[in-house]
Amino acid sequence: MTGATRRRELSSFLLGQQRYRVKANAVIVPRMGGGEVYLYRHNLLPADASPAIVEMLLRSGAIYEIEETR
Amino acid sequence: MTHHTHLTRFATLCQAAGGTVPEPIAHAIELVNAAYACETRPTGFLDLTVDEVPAMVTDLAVRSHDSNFDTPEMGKDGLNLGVKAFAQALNDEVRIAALPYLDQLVVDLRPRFDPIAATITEAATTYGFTYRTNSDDVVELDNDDAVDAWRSLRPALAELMPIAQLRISMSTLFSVGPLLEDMQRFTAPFERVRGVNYSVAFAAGDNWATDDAYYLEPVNRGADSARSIDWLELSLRGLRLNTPSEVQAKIADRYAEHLRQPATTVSEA
Repeated sequence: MTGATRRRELSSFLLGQQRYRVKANAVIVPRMGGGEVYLYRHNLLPADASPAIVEMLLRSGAIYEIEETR
Repeated sequence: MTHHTHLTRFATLCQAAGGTVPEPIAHAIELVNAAYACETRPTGFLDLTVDEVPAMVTDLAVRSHDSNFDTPEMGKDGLNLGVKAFAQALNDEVRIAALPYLDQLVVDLRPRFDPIAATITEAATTYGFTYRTNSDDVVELDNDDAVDAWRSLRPALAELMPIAQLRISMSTLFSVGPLLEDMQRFTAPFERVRGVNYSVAFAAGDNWATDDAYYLEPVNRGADSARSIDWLELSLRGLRLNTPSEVQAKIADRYAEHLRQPATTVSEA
């Protein structure tokens, strides 16, 4: 635990590796564990990116799916 | 003779007076009735064969051209109007026809769901793993069984997702429980329901909620992803793949309980 005020992040091991890369200039992605992350082009989405937003960004072409890496 | 209803009336008068209805009149009544019967929209689309579809589409296209010429799609789309009408009518029919199969589909999926659920339940109950556990914590435990359980958790969750997603899409596509209306029943008047909490479809017992409990993120409208569910927390009191009927029963039971609770009065609040 890093501090009393900060909650621990959701395990990226359980949620699976990042499978999406940013194609748009920048996207704002809410995280399931709370908060949001600003990502520029070519960055990978965090594993705990909110599924509904991921789906929306995927539909609009702002992100694309990549091969899962381990 | 101005209207066909007069024919019918004349025929009735004939019979009342004890005369025979003249053959041309009887035949005309039959014909006009058959003509008016054409107005009723056809049903039973699901019983059609593929060969019968084009004729039906033509039929529906003609029916869709009414006197309302202001509609923008009028006139220019030709048979497309019939295609749209056909697809819509078929959708409605297929929903009703598919409902009895959904329960069985869920029952058939249980043999696949149960071993996955057992793996997740074991990890959560025996070792206390949560979504906020990380691999460092597991290594620190210095327990090979715990490491194995942690390792098998990831493929188990990955295998669970398609099954859970199918169960969720049953609710969104065929309007079987849990639905947004079900969530609304448990919230205070004027309180906004943000989305459907699907935990009831996967709970073995009473471990389900209509608020944000058992979810990794706040429940949202339109966000029907199995990934948002906190499977480890849900598994602490048992996972089970519930059929639409079972879900309906669970919701009804809790709602009956909900109604029995005394309402909060202004002085208490």
